[in-house]
Amino acid sequence: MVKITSSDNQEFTISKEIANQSVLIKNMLEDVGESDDQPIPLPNVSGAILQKVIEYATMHKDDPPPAPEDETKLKTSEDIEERDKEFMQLDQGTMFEIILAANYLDMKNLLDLGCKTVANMIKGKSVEEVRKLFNIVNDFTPEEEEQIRKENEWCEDR
Amino acid sequence: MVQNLRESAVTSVQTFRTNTLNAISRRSPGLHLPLLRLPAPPASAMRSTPASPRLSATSRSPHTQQQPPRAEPPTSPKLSIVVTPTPSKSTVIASPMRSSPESQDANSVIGAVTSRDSATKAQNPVILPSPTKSPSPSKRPTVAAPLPDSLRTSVPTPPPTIPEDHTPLPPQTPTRPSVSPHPYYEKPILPQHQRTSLMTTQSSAHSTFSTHRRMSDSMISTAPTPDLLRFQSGTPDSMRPIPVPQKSKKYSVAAINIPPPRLPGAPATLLSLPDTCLHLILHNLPSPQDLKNLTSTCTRLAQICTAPAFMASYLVYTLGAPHAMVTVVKGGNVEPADRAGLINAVWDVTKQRVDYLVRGLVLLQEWDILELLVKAGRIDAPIVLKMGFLLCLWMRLLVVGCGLV
Repeated sequence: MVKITSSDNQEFTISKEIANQSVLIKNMLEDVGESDDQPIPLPNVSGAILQKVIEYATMHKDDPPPAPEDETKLKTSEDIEERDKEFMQLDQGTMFEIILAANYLDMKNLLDLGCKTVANMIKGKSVEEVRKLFNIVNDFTPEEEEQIRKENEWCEDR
Repeated sequence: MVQNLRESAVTSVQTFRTNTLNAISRRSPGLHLPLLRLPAPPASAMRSTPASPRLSATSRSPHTQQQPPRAEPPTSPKLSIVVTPTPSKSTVIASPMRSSPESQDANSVIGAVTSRDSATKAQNPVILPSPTKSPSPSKRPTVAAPLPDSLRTSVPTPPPTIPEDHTPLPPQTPTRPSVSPHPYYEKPILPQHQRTSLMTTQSSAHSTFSTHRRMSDSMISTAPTPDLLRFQSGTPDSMRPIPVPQKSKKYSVAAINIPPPRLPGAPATLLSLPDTCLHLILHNLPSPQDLKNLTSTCTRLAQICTAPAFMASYLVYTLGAPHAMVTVVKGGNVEPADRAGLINAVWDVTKQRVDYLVRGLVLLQEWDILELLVKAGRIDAPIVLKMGFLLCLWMRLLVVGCGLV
């Protein structure tokens, strides 16, 4: 078993298979050794988010290891499992916190899941809708908007 | 008395006429109009017009352009001969209309020996001696015709490049550089404003050659003009290799994988994510319109979306490396500097899978892009040949397998 501690000093005890899904924790365990009973501090992850991360890791503990990155394979955000869709039905704040935690803990599957979920939220929405959805303030000047429009013309040639 | 007066008047008139003709003949040695034995050819036949192909070709000859105007010997204008020997293709035109050096305009080539091949002219000097007196050794005979060797040896012929009046040659106009030996693919292509300044400098070197000769020579020898490049390569502008642009923005994964700071307790938002996470989100947007909309939302997303590294990775991950390379090389509405950055970025993404890229380009039959990559030193020619051979073999097996043969 492995002990981890969140930023708000909540301690979680998880199995090694679950802990090894995080590359960060796996490397730390290899560095400190298995005999050490000291909890591993995770100062960038809160207890609530760490709870959700452990839930996801437990759900996917029997999954095969992810395949190496292949640029020949086209990316798509449609291949999300149903259980993962249910897992990601969260408020935006929690969802982005999970993405940040997955990035920090180096959990590729969870990070991909969060990014695909956000991408699915963006698809088919206009600029104003995207701004309203994610509470983004338009900080462009008119000249900058025109410049961005020109720089963005390349994507219309695809 | 009256008869004496009449004789003296006739004598004075004859004397005046003789003196006038002599004066005219001294001033204009070619105008011995009363002594003409042959009728002068029509002026239209003697005048060189741009429509005359022979004279136009002569005037385009650099050898003829370097010749200063020459005075005609006084013995020449009695003939009006146009001789065009077929083997040597040299044209000899003698004209009584060519009276003085000052009168040379479009007829400046008349009376001169012109040749398309200077070597042929040197082997067959065309000389016509005067029937009344032999020309002086320093004078070049104007009216020329093939002569026997005995007469040819008696008249020394000056070298064709030295003018007979020993005036210094005018400065040679700089010519365009030779096309064939220039390895342009090894030279970086100048930006547009530098190309313009280069062409301006080359054109001004024609007028102020003495002062700009060294500069123009060096520029001509090192940087061919875009027209020359296009002629030399036979490829459009978009196909030429473009060097790596000097961009100040460098995206490093290690440097940007840090979320921006936010207040403690503040909820996380989309802009709280680090650039790497935003890249992953953008990679999952296969529609360019979605990407365009997201780019137009705020400054940070615009900076992320318009970075060449992201564009290249986006194209590679959404289209595949071969299609991405075709897009960045042949796609329109892209500035040359941006195109260069995209090409290099796509190459950086796909250089670990060169075989995959080459195979895809071979299947797409993008031979010009393969040629570009080979000439730029990015890929080796044997890989392309191997892939092409395998493609041909595969097509052959496919045809045989389908029973078409």
